[in-house]
Order: sequence, then C-alpha cells, then structure tokens
Amino acid sequence: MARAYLTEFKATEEDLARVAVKNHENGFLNPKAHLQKKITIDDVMNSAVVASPLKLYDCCPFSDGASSVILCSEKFAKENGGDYIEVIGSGRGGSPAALQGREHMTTIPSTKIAADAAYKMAGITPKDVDFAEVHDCFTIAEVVDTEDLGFFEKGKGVEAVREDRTKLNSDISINPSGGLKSKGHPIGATGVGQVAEVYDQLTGKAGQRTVKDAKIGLTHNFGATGASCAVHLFQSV
Amino acid sequence: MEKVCVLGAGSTKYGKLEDSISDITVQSSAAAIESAGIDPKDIKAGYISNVFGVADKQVHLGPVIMSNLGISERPSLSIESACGSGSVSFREAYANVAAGFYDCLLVTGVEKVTHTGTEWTTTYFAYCSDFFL
Repeated sequence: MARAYLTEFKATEEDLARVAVKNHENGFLNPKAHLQKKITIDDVMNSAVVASPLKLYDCCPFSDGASSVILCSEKFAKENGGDYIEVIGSGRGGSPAALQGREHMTTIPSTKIAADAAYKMAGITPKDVDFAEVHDCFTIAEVVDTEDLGFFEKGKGVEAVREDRTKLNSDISINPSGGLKSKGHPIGATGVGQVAEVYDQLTGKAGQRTVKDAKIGLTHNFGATGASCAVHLFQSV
Repeated sequence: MEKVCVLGAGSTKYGKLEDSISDITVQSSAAAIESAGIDPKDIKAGYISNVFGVADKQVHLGPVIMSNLGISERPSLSIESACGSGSVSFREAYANVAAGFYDCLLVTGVEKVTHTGTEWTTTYFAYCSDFFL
C-alpha cells in the first residue's frame, strides 16, 4: 500500500517519516505511552527496512496493555453525576480480507463505509471534527486513513503532513495520544484506548496533549489490513 | 434509541507488562469504574475485546474479569476482530445501550503477548490475515 501510494501521489519516505515524528512528539506527552520518546526524521530513515518502503520506525510496536470505558444511557449518566461525553455517531464497514481482492491499494474501503455511516448518524461532516484517533499501525495507514475519513482529498493527506497540518493543535489534531506508533498497540485494547483518549480530551483530562477548544472527537480502528472497521464520533456536553 | 454516553475511562500503561492478562484487565477496568464514580454493581454486562488470550493461557476472559470485580452474576462476552476488536466491541456495547437492553456497561480491551517473544508475536499477528491463502 505504501509503495502504491508513494508512486501514485509522488510522495517520499521522508513524508511518511514525518508522521512517525509527529506521533512520537504527541506520545512524549502521554504518560501511558509505550514509546515515550521523541525521534527525528533521520532516526526513521536510518532504521532497518522491515518491508520496503516501510522501516522499523514506520511501524507501531507490539505492546501489552488494557483500556476500559464505562458506557451508559444519558439517563444513567445524569442520575449518577460526573463528567460524561455523548456518542453521536457509530459506523461499521468491511473490506476484502486479501489485498488482491481490492480495486485500489491506496484506500481502505471499510473506513469509508464506516465513516459515512457515522457522519450520517451524527448529522455532521468531516469539517466538524476537531481531532481524531486513527488507526496508524504503519505511517502510511495514518495518511490513507485521514483521506478515507474525509479530512483530505485522496492524495492530499501527505501534503497536509508535509505542511504540519495534522500536528497537535494545527488544522486537525490527528492522534493526539501518540497513536499506535508511539502510544503502542495492544491489539485487543487499542480501539477502546482510543475512546479513553477522546473521553480524556473532551473532559479536560488530557494534560499537556490537550486539543484546545475541542468539541467533537472521532475514533477510527480497523483489523489487519482494514478488513473490519468501526468509526465513532463523540461530543462534549 | 437511547442517547449513549461515556461516563469514565481508564488504561494501564502500554508496553511490556509483567502482570497477567487477567490482572491488567482488572486494573484497567477498576480505573474506569473509579473514573466514572460508579459502583461495580451498576455494571449490567461486560464487553471484552481480546485476540490472543491463548498466549497467556487465558481465553473466556469475561467471567474471570467479572468475578474479580465482584459481579460474577453479570453476563459478559469476548469479541475478536483482530486489531479492530476494541472498536467493534465498543460498537456492540453501544448498540445494546441504544436499544435499551442495558443502562450501564463495562467495555474493556486487552492484549498480553510480548512475553512470547518476537517470533511468536509476529506469527500470531500473521494469523489475522487470510493466513492459508
């Protein structure tokens, strides 16, 4: 997918490295992150090739971990008291399990299906989203995700990265937690961990990595190469 | 449909953890319960997401977690969709609250694989693809 994207949209490995650097900057501010350290573009470019053009630092780590949330009706939340946020959209989608079953290598069909359903349920568009926790198992995935979620046109996601428009408190904060890349990826926990991050962000508990004035957050999580996807939208009350 | 809310959240640190899969799940769940300011008895069911519990010799995690939280009579289930397990489980929990089946649920995701080493962890992850294609 990376090779196809770099070729079709004339992007470079340095562009992808920039995603890893950004996510480590964010993860450095996250006390729960697996890889809580800053890295440079050179660190990424000099790391061992795993599957060209992806190098070690283009890939998220294997991690242990657990994340949990309490989900309830609004009635329960109000009676109980305490900070709560509302789930305003939920969408699911699927893609062919085998990559050769897909029409294009530079998009993940399940993301679009899930995102469309979630935006429709919430009655909003991608422009209304203030920050998003997206599935960045590899640097290329984050770029493709931001396009499939509608934040940028196909092929323009990499320009946004180049221009620092997905950094914390830029045009749209992508992976303020540090993402899978820096926060880590305990695979059964990650999707719930993203919701935990959105909860912390929208209830003022995200400390130094707070997305300022955020009202709407999105989570995007998929299995393997995108065969199973779910997108959720949340709003502060 | 009922309006659905997230009332609390908790996580362990992510990384190489020493405690068992059950222990880290209970730690995270307890943190979310405290964050929400609820009593464990308020939880009507547990939605667990986990892919390779077998790596730490523990599948059927739900009843273990619910028992450790002192609510063994509450039902639970485990959901698996590879790396998407957490959000897929969250969606199922969401649908059950929206439909009015439950008013308060615990949604917990967990993974504990690093102790198996790089070769086995990589192999496990490869099982998430169309492995026998």
